[in-house]
Amino acid sequence: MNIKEKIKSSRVYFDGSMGVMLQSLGLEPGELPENWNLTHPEKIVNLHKAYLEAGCNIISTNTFGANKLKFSNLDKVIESGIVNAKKAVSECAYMGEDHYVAFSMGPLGKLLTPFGDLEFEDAVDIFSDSVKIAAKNGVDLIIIETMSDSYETKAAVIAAKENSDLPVFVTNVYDENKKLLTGASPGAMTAMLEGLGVDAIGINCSLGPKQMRKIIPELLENASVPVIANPNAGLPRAENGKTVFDVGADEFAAVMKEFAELGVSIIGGCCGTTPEYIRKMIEVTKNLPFKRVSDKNKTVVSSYSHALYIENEPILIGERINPTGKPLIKQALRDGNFDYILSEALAQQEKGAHILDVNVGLPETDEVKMMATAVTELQVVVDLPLQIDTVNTAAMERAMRLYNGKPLVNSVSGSEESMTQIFPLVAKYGGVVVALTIDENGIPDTAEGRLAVAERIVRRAAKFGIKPKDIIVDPLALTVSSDTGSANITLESIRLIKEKLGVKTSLGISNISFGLPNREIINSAFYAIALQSGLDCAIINPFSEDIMKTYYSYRALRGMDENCVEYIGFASGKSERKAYVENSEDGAGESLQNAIVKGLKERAFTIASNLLKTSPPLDVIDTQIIPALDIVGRGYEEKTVFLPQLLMSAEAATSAFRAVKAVLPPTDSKNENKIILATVKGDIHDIGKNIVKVLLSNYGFYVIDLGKDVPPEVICAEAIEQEVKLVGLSALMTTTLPSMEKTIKLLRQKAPDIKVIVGGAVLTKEYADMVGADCYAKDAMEGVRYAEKVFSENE
Amino acid sequence: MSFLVQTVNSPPGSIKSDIAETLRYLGYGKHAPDTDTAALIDECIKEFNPVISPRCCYIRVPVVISSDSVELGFGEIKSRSLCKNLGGCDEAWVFAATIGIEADRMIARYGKTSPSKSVIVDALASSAIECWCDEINRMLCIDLKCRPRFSPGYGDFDIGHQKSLMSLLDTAVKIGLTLTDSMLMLPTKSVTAVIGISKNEDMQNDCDICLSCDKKSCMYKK
Repeated sequence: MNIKEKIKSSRVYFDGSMGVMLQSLGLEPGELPENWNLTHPEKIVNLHKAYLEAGCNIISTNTFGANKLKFSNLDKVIESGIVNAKKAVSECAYMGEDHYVAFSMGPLGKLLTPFGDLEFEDAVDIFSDSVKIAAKNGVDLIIIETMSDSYETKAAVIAAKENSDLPVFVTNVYDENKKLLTGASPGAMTAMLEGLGVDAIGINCSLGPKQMRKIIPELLENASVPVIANPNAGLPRAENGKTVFDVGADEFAAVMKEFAELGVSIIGGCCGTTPEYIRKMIEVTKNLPFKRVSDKNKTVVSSYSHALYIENEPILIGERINPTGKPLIKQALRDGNFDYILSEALAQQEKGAHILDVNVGLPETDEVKMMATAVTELQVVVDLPLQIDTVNTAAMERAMRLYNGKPLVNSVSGSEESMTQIFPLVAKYGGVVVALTIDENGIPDTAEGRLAVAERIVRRAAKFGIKPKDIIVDPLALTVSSDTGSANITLESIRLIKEKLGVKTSLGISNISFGLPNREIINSAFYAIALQSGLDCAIINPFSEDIMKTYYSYRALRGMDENCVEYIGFASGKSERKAYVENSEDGAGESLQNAIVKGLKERAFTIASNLLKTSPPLDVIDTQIIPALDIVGRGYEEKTVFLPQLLMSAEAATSAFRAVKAVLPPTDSKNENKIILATVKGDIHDIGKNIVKVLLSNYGFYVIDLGKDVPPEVICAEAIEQEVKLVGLSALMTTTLPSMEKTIKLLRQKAPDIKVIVGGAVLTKEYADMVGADCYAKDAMEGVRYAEKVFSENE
Repeated sequence: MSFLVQTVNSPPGSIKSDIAETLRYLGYGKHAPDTDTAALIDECIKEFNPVISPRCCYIRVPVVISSDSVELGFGEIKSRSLCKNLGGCDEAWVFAATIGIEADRMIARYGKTSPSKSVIVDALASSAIECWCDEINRMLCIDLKCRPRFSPGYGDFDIGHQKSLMSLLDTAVKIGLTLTDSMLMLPTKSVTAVIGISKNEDMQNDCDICLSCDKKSCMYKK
């Protein structure tokens, strides 16, 4: 019986510890265990046999760290690892049991971008090479284990799926707080991994079995595939020069029995569990009744940190990241200025959005690239699940692949073309897909008609293996001003679709009010009726007071808000009031200059807005903002003002400038005073660079921020294309100085007129001279002063 | 030698940043921040403390010193400063510690939205990892005479040795600590170090790392 069938019908046992056992057999500190496949095959075979004889079904190959980053003879290491395991299986054939060989893949030891330096696709590529060798040599399944990062786990699963047809099991390492090291909860991992089509999921290594008691229930509650538990034998300690673990075999077996009774159907051990542990575990569990796993039928999306279950509570999808009708977002996208988009994202989260819609489609931009950047950058700053919103299939695929979780996919329609494009992506990467009740014939004008389209979509999805729980139907809100019956049809559709198909629903609320005055009034009323009709998700503007009033009131009235706590918080306007409160409300009587000097962001904006009603914008800049910046800048140079205060003022100035920009006619985007900033290749620190950027922007320079870890070629090409006069480079570590030197050399060669200024923790004037920079700035203000000099010389 | 890498974690929030140190990192020297800045720092502390996730793994190794290199049971390290630091020791702790990726995440997030909070959290995080290392020092050195901890990058102890220390300790799997190609540790607020265990009974048990550094002109010197 193959392993996929086996786990459906019976409890299956994994083997125990490999690494610790090899150490006891003589593996030296720092020696790579996988090399023993070639140097000590007999010991590896015997160890596998010991576990099989203890009664386990699955043995994991000694290939945990076998990847091309570590091994130049990867083929041989993996091949021999598999040969050894198979030999053990064949020598144990006399037992007459079902035995399986699992190809073991562990973490790469590198952190993935955006925090680390390993690109997602490079990680996929490294895992792929190992998978290909394993598949060629023939194993029964792949076990991706001891993964403490959700993103790396996703890369490994994609590699396994793209390069083999083997069943894939995944076990992660959770900590005491029930999270992976990079933040994912068991629910988030379950959502993502099931979406990716993994056959069994669970937990290994981590702590001892007792500590897993907190995590197992959350896996069992949410997983529709079998759950695996392979714990350590507790924690290790030294005793008379030997390593011992603090949970003995009997105790281990007792806890594993508990897990089996709860419904964990694949059990085994990790560090410190000898064949004795496995034998005892099997002994106490083999006669327990087997629990078949059931489909949990939950509609769930996830982010890198948590799962969001779309069940009984209304879900708010923030609509603000969308260029349609929003000139500022349009401009930000054209400029590649993601900071604005990220601040919109955070603001929506603060207002209470549960999911953020991401639409970055503009005719004149590369949407695939833009969507990839948006999805990656957004996941640095917000932990909300994202709704990927695009009609560009390539952009959709790129975003779904790079997304660290299970996304909401917006959208598929009832047209055959749309379904054949979108469903394969959902089937491959996982996701909950929004299905619009529209097809080749348009939008049906009856609720029954829309139900029919929805029904067809659900049926077609099933052919791709997509279940109804992963479909959210959007029966489409159409403007009521052109057809007064349209709201009724939409509302009736919600009821009908939920009743007949049992799927969740979603609506873009504001469509209802096109062409009407004071649209928020009717939007919020429509939202209230839609909620009452059973609507689950609404795409809304979280900044709309009226919508939020409806949302909080509805929850309070429908018994979803215990003691009306959230309603009270919202209605009394005190929800999540910050500790750092700016005391004066309107800033009356205070000068803008003073507010900026004191670093009061919100007040600076208010005062500036008021001031602009009576004073011309340029006056406000020249008589208030610039003098304030000068006071603080000089104070910083004289050491009476310190870095945090300098930056608080800079932020206050930025918000005053925002008020100014709102009244100034949009300027010609041709900027004379352009500066490129970048942290050099190999360096991932960007705090210093970000500080310089804020200050330069305040002083009126147009900063092109290329980010961190930027290759010399990219900096050089960009500098030439953008015709900048000044390039600022940052490096924090001595190890990345050569990369700075290389960048400067290349710039000198290709664009000798461009000035280069450098800064960063390790730099000194001497280093700066050595690498050939024009100027060394010991802090951000020096950078500003030098930029002023360069551009005044150029005038 | 015993081949036992042990791990120890401290609950989130159990390690707190040292405020005086944090201000020093922010360049205040002996100056006090003004009230608005102090309020912002307080706000950052409230947000930052709960996300610290202190983790550590360590191993005890033998020390054999010969002229300008030292053998630590897993490989030889050429470094006069390390030899000096470990002089008189026949064993040492090798440890790696981190406060976790959430600190980086918060610093990055504020880097996009509020640079002032970003530098404050960065300074808090720098202080937190030092406090965590001090805590580890204390824990490892109970009833032992220990030297100040000494990290790759100090003196002529080449920063490249981070790689062998981290692979010895299997830090990626044990505590999620990884190294980039350019030798940067990730999470960034992390430390690898050697702590000499002295035979000499009257050795001082001292955690002050500045004592182990020769650098004269350091703005952070205590």
